[in-house]
Amino acid sequence: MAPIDRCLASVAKLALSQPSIRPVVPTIPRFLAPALIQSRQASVIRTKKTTKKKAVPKDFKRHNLEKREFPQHTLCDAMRVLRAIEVGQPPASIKYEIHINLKTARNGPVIKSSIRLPHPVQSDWQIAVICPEGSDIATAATAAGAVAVGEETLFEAIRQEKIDFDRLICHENSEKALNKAGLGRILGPKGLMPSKRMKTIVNDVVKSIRDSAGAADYRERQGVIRMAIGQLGHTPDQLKANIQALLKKVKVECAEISEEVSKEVHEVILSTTNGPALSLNGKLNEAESTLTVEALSSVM
Amino acid sequence: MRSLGERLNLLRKQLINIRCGPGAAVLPSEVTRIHMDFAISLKGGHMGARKFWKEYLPRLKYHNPSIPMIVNRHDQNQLSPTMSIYLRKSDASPAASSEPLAQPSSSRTNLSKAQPPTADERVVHIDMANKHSSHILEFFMAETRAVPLQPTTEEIVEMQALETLRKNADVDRERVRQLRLEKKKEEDMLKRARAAGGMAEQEEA
Repeated sequence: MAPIDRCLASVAKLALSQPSIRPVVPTIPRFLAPALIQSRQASVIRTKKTTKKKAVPKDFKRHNLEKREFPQHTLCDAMRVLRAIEVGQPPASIKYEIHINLKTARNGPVIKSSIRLPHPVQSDWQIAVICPEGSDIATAATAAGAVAVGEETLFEAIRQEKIDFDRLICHENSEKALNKAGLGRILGPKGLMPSKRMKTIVNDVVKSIRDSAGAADYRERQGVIRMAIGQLGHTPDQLKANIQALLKKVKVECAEISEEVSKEVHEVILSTTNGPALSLNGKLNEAESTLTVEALSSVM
Repeated sequence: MRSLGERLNLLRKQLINIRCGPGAAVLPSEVTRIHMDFAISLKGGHMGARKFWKEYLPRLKYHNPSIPMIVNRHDQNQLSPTMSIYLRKSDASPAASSEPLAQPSSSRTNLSKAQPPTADERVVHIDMANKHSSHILEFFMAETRAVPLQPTTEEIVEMQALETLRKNADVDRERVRQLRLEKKKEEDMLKRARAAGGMAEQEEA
């Protein structure tokens, strides 16, 4: 009988010569006992990298302008700079823009409304009205200045993307037909889809046309309200009237909307189509300034 | 939204640029209005006129906000670009000219051609064809006898501060570019190594 050590050595050799030293995973079907199967034989346990995401602050960041000594201008100073930058441009196509930075939370209700400015920026809106064809409402709407009136004809035009209007009003009687037509995919992205909340599904179409003819929409996005506030040809007094009207309305809405959260105007910024943004300080003109209001009213 | 510091630096640059530089001048009170007439495209020597409008006219307008400066652009390149300066006649009283001017505003579509001068105005024409914008400015200053404004000490300090800011930005930009280049080089090397190693493993198998 051979000594046991020798036997062992040969066994070891045999074992070594085999290509796979690693234990073979028993071929048990996975669905039988998933808990029993050891799927990995890694000896090193990798620790998962956990990068903690910084929590987004609740409110939008609003710097203290006085503390940072950010330059703020009177309305006349700002208009002087902007009129100089826009010199030689056709004044009807260049607009003054206003940006109202709000001190507000990131989530929560937003301000969304429309306003009739004392001196409208754009007065010739093209309005279309959805109402039963051939009815009294249709004729009244046409008389009030609607460019397109009807139900199925209008839907067909919209489906073919022939949209030559920038306001769409729907009469209450045609609401069902509108919902059935399924035009949300086309009208939604353009912001034209009539809805009760936007007050574009109405009972009195003629009144609505008259109201929306000189009105401009505005809404809060990312804590800022932006809208066109005047034409380049406007005088400082006209622009002041527009800004005051808008700010008054926004402040009232801020007070109305906030039940728990506070919302207030932080900064008002004026710019033009090509011009820089200038922060306003709420005054029309400096008392000892050589710049007069009349100087800024001349032809551009 | 841009941060406050970024907004401030951009604004400082634009404000100083409109206040100081060539074209910063106060026009004498007899200049009533300026009219420029040139084509939208630059063929036929209209380049200088357009550059004058873009570079110097904003500064002139900033320092003389009450003087109407009308730009009429059109698509007729065969016409020579002209500037008309309307000057009040020396004997006319300033009160007499307070009547409203029948001056249409600037246009891109040839709608505001140069108007004939009123009774107490005379016109000086400058032919801007094939002239450099700085050359046109020289003519303009000579004709109107405008007083160029020298930058004040505060403005000089501001300009120097902006210049150092620009230089520092250049240095920083170069430094970051080098860093990014280095990182990219390392990444590329790793990628190539990995590709080569992967091939070797496949061959073994």
